[in-house]
Amino acid sequence: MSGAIDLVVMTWRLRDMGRVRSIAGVLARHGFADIAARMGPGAWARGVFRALLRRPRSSPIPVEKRLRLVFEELGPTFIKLGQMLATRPDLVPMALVDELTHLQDRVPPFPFQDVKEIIESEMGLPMAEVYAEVDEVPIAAASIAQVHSATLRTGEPVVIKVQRPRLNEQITADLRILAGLARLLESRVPETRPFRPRAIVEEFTKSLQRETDFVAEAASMGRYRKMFEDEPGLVVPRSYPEWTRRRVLTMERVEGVKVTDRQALVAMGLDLKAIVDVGMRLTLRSIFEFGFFHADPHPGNFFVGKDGTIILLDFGMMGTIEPRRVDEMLAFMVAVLTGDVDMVVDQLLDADLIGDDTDLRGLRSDLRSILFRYSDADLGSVDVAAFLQEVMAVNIRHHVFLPADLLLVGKSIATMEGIGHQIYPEFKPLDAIRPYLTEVYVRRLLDAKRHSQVVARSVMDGLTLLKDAPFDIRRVLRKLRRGELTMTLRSADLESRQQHTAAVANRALLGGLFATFFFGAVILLDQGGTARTVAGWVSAGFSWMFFLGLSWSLLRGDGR
Amino acid sequence: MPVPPLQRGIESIVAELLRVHVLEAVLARPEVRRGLSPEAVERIRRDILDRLKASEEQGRDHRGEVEEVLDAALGAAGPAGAMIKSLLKAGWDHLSPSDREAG
Ligand SMILES: Nc1ncnc2c1ncn2[C@@H]1O[C@H](COP(=O)(O)OP(=O)(O)OP(=O)(O)O)[C@@H](O)[C@H]1O
Ligand SMILES: [Mg+2]
Repeated sequence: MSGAIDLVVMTWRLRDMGRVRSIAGVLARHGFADIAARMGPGAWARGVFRALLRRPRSSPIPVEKRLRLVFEELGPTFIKLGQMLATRPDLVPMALVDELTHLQDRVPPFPFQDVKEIIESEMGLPMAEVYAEVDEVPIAAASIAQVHSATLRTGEPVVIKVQRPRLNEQITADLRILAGLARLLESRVPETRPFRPRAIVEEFTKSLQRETDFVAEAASMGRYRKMFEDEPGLVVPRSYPEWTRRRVLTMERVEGVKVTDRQALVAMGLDLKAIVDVGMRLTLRSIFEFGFFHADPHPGNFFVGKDGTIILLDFGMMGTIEPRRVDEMLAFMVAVLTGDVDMVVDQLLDADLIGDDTDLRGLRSDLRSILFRYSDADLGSVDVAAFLQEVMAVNIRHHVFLPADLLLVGKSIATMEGIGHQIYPEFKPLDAIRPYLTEVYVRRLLDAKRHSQVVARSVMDGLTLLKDAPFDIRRVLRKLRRGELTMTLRSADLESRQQHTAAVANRALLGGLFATFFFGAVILLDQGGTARTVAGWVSAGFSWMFFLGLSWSLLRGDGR
Repeated sequence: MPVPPLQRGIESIVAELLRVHVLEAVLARPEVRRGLSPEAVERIRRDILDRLKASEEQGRDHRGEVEEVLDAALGAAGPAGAMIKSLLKAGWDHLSPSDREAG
């Protein structure tokens, strides 16, 4: 038992130890030390946590809030982790989701001297040879980067997004620690193996690396610009590839006001309804036509130009969906939006999202009651976000696994809806969403090109199957797949993700791991639940605490 | 990327099936009726019809290639293959009105 831990601890670099120790320290400072007392199954563990226990035992601050503070204090990797957890209401308690959506990503700026050094080391040139002028006071500072206004030598007004100094080293160390944790989970807690913690951490690593690569961000901006060439109502700043490196992104400077600044928009004499309609259309098109969407649709990333154009910023986190999933999602959403319960359930079955233990009749009747209630309401006035949340809650109650990309799509639409309501209170989101989605759905169903591609691809192997299976192949395949459902549900999802580079979806998947194994355990325990009554995943949470605590005690031992 | 002839043939066949057997059924679905206004349905019907007809015509000359592939694959399947093929053929003749229309 301790062999596995030793191994993990040994695979950490010595310099990570300091970080592990500070993580433990942050946890303790926010009152999570008391948990240790209740979770220790052995005297050795109690010894490990003795030091932690000297801290104040209980805190008047709610546990969810303390967790958020822990995330904020632990920095970029964990802030991103928290943001990811916030997208997993099917795995994280709702109260924590709400709290995590308030994660502060505004941090004190770093000194201009660092800005200059980073620019010069990335460009291999003195800063003055690239920019005629750089504003020393940043426009904004977040966990990953800060943004400075500047002017190119050629006179164009630009902004420069510069990555925080030593960000990569810090993230790399955190990710190594997480990888160590994942290894520990797989070897110590067999229940976690179906979730493939190591693969998930690898995926999170990839997605975080993508987000910290501004060359990739510039490419996403370019792709998005091209997608919406035919939309005069949208502006995506042009990037300057010749002045863009991994840690420095130079882009066209755009003028605008925050989309949520209703007063300013009114003062500018703009048609608020038109802005909201365009915003919603763009959101839907990016998802359902292009399968490439802005996965961080924070109101802070939307601006409005003088002429009423929507300005979209921050392409660090993009979601991608493969065409097959678009079909499934469309069918699901059309079914939901038109109140067709049987179709909703069929969609969930087809997508293998319903566990074998699910009571289908109960699920149907719960869904029916929600859909019925909403279909009675005045369609225009339906609050889509609340509605989707209710549908989601039913799914969660009935153990329907919600795919990460569907949740992200839901979040995108809900954010746009929220923005819409804020600046144009009479906004009727369903009036905009329903006809659009239904039309796309019909067009895809009747798209001969698309179907023929699929048919052509499967003609050869499809016919081989046909020769010894002259009956309903689809049904058999579904059964076959469902035979292994319990074990492969999530890993299958992960595999398809790996093939289709859904950076953010992966990140959201990872949320599953930590949400379930770590924070779930912490919250349950903190609320006085006993270890014995909770399932194996809580023990995984224990491991994480043991893990930190043990390493910490080892270090203390070393120090003496 | 050029579209392979086999796929064009398939597209032509698929388009015809969609046009003759699926289009109206989809547009008549309750969820579609509830989601779209009658004018929108009409506009979409016309647009899709145009597309399907174009796909049908463009690939008509390549339908033979689909049959060849079928022959080869089903031939390899022995007696079962022969049976399936005759079923497919009967099914196709039943579904496709193109002879009557074209003739
Ligand atoms: N092209 C631009 N023109 C004018 N202002 C910009 C531009 N790009 C960014 N800004 C300003 O900088 C702020 C932060 O930009 P952005 O959202 O891209 O980075 P971030 O959120 O700070 O970084 P990250 O999301 O990677 O942590 C924006 O809210 C906006 O005020
Ligand atoms: Mg931002």
